[in-house]
Amino acid sequence: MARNRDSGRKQPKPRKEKSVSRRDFFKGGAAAGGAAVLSGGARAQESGAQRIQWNYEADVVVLGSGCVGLHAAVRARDLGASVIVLEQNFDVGGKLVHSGGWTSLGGGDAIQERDRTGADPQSLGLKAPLIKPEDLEDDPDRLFRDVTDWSVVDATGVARYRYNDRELHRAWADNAPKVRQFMMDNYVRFARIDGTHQGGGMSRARAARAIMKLADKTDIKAGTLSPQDRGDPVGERHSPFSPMRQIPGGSGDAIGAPGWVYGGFVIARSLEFSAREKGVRFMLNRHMDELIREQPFGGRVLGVKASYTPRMHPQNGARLESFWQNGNVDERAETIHIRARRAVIVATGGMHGSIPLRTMIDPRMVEPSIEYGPSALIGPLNMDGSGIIAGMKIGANLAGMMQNYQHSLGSPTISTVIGTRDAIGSIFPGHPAFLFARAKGISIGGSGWEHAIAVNQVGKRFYNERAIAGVSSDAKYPAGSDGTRAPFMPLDWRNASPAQVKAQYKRSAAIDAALAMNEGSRAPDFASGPVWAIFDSAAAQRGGWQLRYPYIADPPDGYFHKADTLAELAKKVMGHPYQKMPLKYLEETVARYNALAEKGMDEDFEKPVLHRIDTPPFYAAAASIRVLDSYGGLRINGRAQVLDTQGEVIRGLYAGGEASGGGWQHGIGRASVHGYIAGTNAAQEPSA
Amino acid sequence: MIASTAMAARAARTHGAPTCAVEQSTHEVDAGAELTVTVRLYCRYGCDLKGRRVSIRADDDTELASAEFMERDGEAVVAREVPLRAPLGVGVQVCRAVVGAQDEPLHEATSTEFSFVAKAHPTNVSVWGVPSAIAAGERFRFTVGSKCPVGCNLTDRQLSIFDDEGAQVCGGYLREDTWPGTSALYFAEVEAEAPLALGDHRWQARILSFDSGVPHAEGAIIFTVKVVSPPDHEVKVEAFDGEKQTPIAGAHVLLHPYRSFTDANGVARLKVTKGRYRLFVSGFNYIAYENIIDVAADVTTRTELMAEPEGQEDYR
Repeated sequence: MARNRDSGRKQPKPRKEKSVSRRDFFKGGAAAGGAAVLSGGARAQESGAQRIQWNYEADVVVLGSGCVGLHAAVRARDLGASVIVLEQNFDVGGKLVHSGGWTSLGGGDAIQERDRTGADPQSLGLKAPLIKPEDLEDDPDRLFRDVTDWSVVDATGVARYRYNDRELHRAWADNAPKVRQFMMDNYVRFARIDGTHQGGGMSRARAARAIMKLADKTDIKAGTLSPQDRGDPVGERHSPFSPMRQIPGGSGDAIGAPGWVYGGFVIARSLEFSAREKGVRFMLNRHMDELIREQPFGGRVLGVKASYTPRMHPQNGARLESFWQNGNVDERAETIHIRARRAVIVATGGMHGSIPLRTMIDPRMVEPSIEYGPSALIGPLNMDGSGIIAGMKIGANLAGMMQNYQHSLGSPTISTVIGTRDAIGSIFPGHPAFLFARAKGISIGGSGWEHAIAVNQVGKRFYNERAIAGVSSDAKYPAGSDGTRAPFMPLDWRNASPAQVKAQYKRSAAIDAALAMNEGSRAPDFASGPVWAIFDSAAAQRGGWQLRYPYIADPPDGYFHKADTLAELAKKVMGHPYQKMPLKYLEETVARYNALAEKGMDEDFEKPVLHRIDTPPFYAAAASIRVLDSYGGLRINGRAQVLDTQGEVIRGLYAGGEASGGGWQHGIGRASVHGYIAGTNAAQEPSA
Repeated sequence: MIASTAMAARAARTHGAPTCAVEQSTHEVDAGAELTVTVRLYCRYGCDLKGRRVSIRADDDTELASAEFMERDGEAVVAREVPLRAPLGVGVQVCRAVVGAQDEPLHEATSTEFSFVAKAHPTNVSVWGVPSAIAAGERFRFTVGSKCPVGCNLTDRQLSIFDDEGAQVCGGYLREDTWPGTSALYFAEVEAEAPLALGDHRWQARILSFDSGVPHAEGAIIFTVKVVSPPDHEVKVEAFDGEKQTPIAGAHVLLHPYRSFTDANGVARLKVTKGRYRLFVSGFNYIAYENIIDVAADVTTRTELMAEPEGQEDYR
């Protein structure tokens, strides 16, 4: 079953049992082993309400294998539950595998304590701590106070912690130290703490990168990563092991871990390895379509209906396969039903793939070309909101829908990676996701916009391009960053005084201008259309921009165009799937821009420096409007149980991460603790 | 009587001429370039006319193209996007879409007229490489390029440069090779002498109409020649990484209208007239530096630029 690879790395071996397939069940009548994870076959539900023929069953059914799902699955398995994880993609990891691995927990967690004392108990070869000891002294009460501090206001004028759900965050703070230890117990290693992540509080340093050490071979238990699995950003290759950019050469130095590299892939692969080793089963290529409850709006959740969603190699038509395969249940039936004896955990991620859902939280999100999540990596069902929708269909309530708006990662921004359909993923060849992304994109940074103009779907400028990027809004430790008040006093009204807010306010409305209606907006939705970066060959030369494969697609895919003249360029953009018209005003816009450059003053948008756009050939690269995170979703309580519209628990249903709502916290810290809490409680539900 | 009966019988089987409609991709096309027509054919008695052919003919009855009605579109049959090539001559071209008669049941022949205008090829002209500031009377160089969108070879085509008064100041001929990175942009390096009068001068680069077997329209572009006083002083700008204290090569230095880039040592030298300037130094992946400086003598300025925050690719 397992596929050996030539890098010498080991597949995780289940400790107690062999894999059990549906066919084995039919032959033998039952799964073998004291910790049988799942069984298959036709079993009629007694209630008659559903008359469902269950194809599989397990104690806990986890929907999604991202950060929430992996933590929930391993935790539930640790507590003795049989666990099956359904994942719509061909591999495990979700968005986690592409993250930076910066894990913000705290409350006096093991890494805070390690760094506070300057120790290196795992002999990782760490340098001295990066944070002074007093800023590492922490406890759950302080953490809870921090993440519900009403007085903190960020650079965009948003009170980042004020309206976090208090029950959720009390539970989060209480469990954060446990989760740090849990991750370490499952092969995750951390560099020195070097700050606090978004939503992690103002008063203490709580975030460290998950790391692996470069070595000859990949060994999860030893924390080592082979050059082959690391990929090679310099050599323009990523690996199937990790689709994430890993900064070459000494990236660990800055985080006190020389010789190590970091990323979310470390957590994803380590927990996946551990899960497979412990006997968690993965049914990949399987999308949850419906949650099944005893009555439509009453009773316990019984299981799920799920459909087969393989992703095929676009050239040879072969099904894409996961990196590790032991423990996979290769079920290819179009539709199946899976019974959860104890509980279902919704870990399906966010909602930005659903225009009807996302426009509930932000009307600008009506624009269909908006990119969300690493789309090529996760596939067409990425962030489709299916967990939220399925919950709503059986009576679940929603929470925190306002917390997406104005969040720096939950709100759309204009990318500085241009010329690709997957600016978020920005993946090199070598990982299967590149087959769908087709181009890594050209990274121009915020400063690159000095040398290009941004135009809308009719070819008109709409904002000072230098204000497109570089405006952050992260109210977090250390105090003073992003203009927050320093020294910082928790719960102090002066943090939110008009004078302080005025002093720190900094926000670009470039995205609002980009998403405004323009002359090309048409009924019924009056969409604003794509944004294009327009530049000439002189700009490309100045910036050293690599206008070649794999940074741009070959053959072309409509996201990058080159032409001898601006008139030709204006027509070529029609190759973009969301561009409905030529850039009608492009020649006029560039002529005006060049005149302003000669004048030395941007009378239209106050861009500080303008470079003429006149040296052929000319380029148009799609500058995607993209959004990374999703906030708002199923209402859960402190035990991660989903609540209905009456505030009652829906028995047998748990949720966390981006499928749930109630907080403004970003990332691994949020998702890992949610998963841990859900796994803990789901495993202890009575067996139905 | 017998004849009359036969005629009546025949009339009963006659569906008349089918309705034929022609849809053009464009009504104006460059001479010799391609356009397409989509032809729909419809019999009011609902006959399936798939397999019939349409012939597209010029006004002298020469066949320009033909196609079969391959698919149905409601009750009509369609021949989609039949390619036609416009004649090399300029003017209105009248064509006909002709569908022949068919006997059983009898569909009479039909002929539908349509027209388009064949135009002379446009000639796109562009100018680049003009210095941002030129001292009065100084000689300077720049590049003029020209492109026919159909891709015609423009080698040796004459170009002329005219000043604000319409007087020709210089000229040249397009070279045999095309500008690097382009498919058919022909170019010429041009040298001219700046006017003595200070200020912005609006010059014109023009390529006259010509006929190389295919008529080409005249093309022109207006561009600015900014004339300044001869420089008084040199401003030496040093650009350094604020954290690493290493020189930044390729940083852009602006003392409008003077521009330059730093060399490998992080140094740019600009010869400017005396006065007050906004100094703006920017580099890729750096936060720009900005300051006001007064230039009353040769001056050296050290600038330190801070790196931009970590790129957006590395999500946390």
